[in-house]
Amino acid sequence: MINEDKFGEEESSYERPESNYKCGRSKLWNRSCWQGPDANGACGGATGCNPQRRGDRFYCTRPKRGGGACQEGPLPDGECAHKRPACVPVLITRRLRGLFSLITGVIVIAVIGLYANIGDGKYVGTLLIDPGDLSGIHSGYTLEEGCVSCHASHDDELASWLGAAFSTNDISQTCLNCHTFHEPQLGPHNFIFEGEHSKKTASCVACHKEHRGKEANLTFISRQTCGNCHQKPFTNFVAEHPEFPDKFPSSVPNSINFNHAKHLMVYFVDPKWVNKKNRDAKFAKLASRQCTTCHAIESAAGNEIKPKSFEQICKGCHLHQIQGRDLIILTSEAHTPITGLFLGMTESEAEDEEEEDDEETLTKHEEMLAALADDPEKVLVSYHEKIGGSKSYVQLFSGLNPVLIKQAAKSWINEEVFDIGGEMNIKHFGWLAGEDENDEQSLRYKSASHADPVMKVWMELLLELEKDASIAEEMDAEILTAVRDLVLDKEEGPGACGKCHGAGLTDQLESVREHKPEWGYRGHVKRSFTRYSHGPHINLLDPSKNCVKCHKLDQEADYASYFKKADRTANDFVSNFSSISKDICIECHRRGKVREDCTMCHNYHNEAGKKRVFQEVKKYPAET
Amino acid sequence: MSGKIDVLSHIKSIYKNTNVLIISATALLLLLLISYLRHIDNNLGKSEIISGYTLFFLILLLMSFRIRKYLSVIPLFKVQYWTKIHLIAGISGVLIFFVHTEVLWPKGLYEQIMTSLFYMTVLSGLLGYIMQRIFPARLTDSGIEIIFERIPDQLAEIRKEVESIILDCTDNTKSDTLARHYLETLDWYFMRPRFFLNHIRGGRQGQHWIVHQFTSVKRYLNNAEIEYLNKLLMHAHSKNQVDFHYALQGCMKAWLFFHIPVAIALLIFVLWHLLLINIYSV
Repeated sequence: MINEDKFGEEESSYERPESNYKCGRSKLWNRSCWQGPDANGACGGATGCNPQRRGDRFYCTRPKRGGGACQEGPLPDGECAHKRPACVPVLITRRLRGLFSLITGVIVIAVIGLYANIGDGKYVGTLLIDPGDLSGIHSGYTLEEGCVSCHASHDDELASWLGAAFSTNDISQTCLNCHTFHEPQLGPHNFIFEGEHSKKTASCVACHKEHRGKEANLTFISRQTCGNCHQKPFTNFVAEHPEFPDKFPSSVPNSINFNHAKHLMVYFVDPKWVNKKNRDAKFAKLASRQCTTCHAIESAAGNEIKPKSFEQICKGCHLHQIQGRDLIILTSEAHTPITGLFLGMTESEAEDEEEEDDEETLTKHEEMLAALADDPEKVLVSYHEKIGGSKSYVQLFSGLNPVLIKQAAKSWINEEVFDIGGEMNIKHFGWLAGEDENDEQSLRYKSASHADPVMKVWMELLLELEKDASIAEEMDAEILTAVRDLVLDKEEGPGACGKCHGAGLTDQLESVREHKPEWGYRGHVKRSFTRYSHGPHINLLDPSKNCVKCHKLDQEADYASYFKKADRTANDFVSNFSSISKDICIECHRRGKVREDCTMCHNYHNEAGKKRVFQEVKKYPAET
Repeated sequence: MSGKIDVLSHIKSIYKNTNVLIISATALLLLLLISYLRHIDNNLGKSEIISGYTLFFLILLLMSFRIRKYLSVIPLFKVQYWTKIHLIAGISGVLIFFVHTEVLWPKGLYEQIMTSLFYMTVLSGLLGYIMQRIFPARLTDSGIEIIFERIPDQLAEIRKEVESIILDCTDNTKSDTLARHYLETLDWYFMRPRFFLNHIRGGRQGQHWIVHQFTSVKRYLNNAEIEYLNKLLMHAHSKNQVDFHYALQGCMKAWLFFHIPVAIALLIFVLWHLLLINIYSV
């Protein structure tokens, strides 16, 4: 029934693709007129044709495709007899689509222009530029300063804001306003490499992609990224991570000489030691079974589980040793290392002088006692000045009563026994004069407890003298050696300090300290590129085996050898524990179980720190 | 030996196929691009700058398809090739989009708007492509060809003929049964295209309607009237075919009313994004 001939060239108008309009009658599903709309979109078919005048008559001009010339013909005045209401031409589909697109584009531009300008009164608001919430860790930093805290051009005027598009806007430098790293701060691993790697720089945002929501992980870095520089291919921890180094993780010597093997295998279990006088048998029993008896489990969140304090774990067995070993300053008759310092005499010189003593002339020792009997404070000050060092007189002789030493010195010159109260002399702590435990008349200092401040400054002074080059040149080496031996003697040394702290007081390990006596627990070696937390591991590893699962005691290790060496280096240190094996880690850290990517245990940055904290940035309104 | 030759000739025939060549080349280019981006990432570089600009130029390439239509007088290859390039560039764009954003749904408002526009453009494009692949075959199966712009004229012509038949019937049979049925029922059908959605779905609701309406009136007609009714029935079926063409051709034009404006909105947001990135980040 569809007769396409009806729309042939002569029967129908040709559809005009270049025209913007089409007949409005077609929109009402009527047949469009043969004229169609004009170029301006006005109806062209209000009449059947435009009659043409030839001579004195008008003729119909309707073409065949419009139905041919009409029978009625034009009216006498020349108008067409077939008038009809004009239609409202409509846009053709293509034009309508173009108009739609144009309107959409204008609306979008208007929306961007409008919303981009709404904000905090500056040129650009944040509604249509904010690519997402900052991570939780950073969101607090921009509360006051806003976007400009990272994006310098944000508050600029329009021209310079647009101009910023043609300049470099890497925000890495603004990251360094708050974050600190080892130099080079933008170099790979903040580490100075040899060769080509040292020339490279990296932008912070290459790894730390912000504006990805409060929960975004800013620190993730893929294995492939690490593998790009690290020559050894690494796709999984189990097969390709190198075995941990020897002595891992105990490669740095302890500052405190504590032999785990001796304590766990002998002192805590052998009845000979456990039942000895001044021993805490109950504690020893506990400590032999549980590492956490001595190690503070509360610090498990960190890299290491530190030992508890002296008072908590050592005092029970070792306090009496501290209290039982006095610092002998001088005696009534014999030479001591400290009087050697005062008088500048070696022990052999003192003995020679003693042998040659002819009763008529006073030995230096006797002169010293006489002077002390006369004006002890003046004499001690002069000795202090002679010795030098960084410790003050007040620190060294804190609590010393000059009357005590004056009276003692007088007694000793007259070859009398000085006694101010028998047992009281022994039981009390601090500065004492009179008969000591060796039945000698002496001036001495007795520690009351661990970390006695007077004992500590004396220890530090005496070791300082040996290390101070200017003093060492002036003083006889034998005198200084005698002093050193006095301090570090494990069996007889004052306060028994050298027994445990010998290494900490004398080590010259640049990596762990700066020539200062190290009394405290040194802790693990600082590893900038690795991290480990005991916390999540403690109960996951075989609970029945406790810490021993990883920290296996090496009973064969010669732990004491390091502490016995005079010129030791860090490499000489032998740990009480076997090196931890990777095999323990791969029980869990493997594909399909727990994470095994590089950043699980390794830090990218070297010595990462912060120089601004949230409290400094946030400005609270002033109180009124 | 002959088996080997068959395989070779088969492979040759495959590679003679332009589509396979274009798709293979595109896949290779994408692989190279992605491995290059990975290389940049692994060197702590900003791969998103490369992927972003690649995506931007792909969007411009996709947009140029529209410009090609304006420049029909210039022999810039066949539209068939442009369509293929448009399709392949579009699919590549989706892949690069995910490489660039690394997420399905971003966090910020303007990026969410931009992503929505991207998704809408892609989905409408895919829908359009599917229609362009399916509908022409269905239209050919209908057995007639109708220019979309002439459909109103076709309908008017059918309506004119149908009304002429009704008038003849009334004059010659002196019965107005068929005329009244036309005015009360069939006029609605012949007035404009009907059953639009059903035609798109490939349903036959139009035909059922015709059969129902013509059967219901047939029992009230005498033999002379039935002859006119049969003529009407033929016109009704013709109109149903026109309706079918209107529905399918209309869809093939209408989807661009969504696809192009959304694509333009996307382009504007992309330019805005480009400006912001250069001001704030690069």
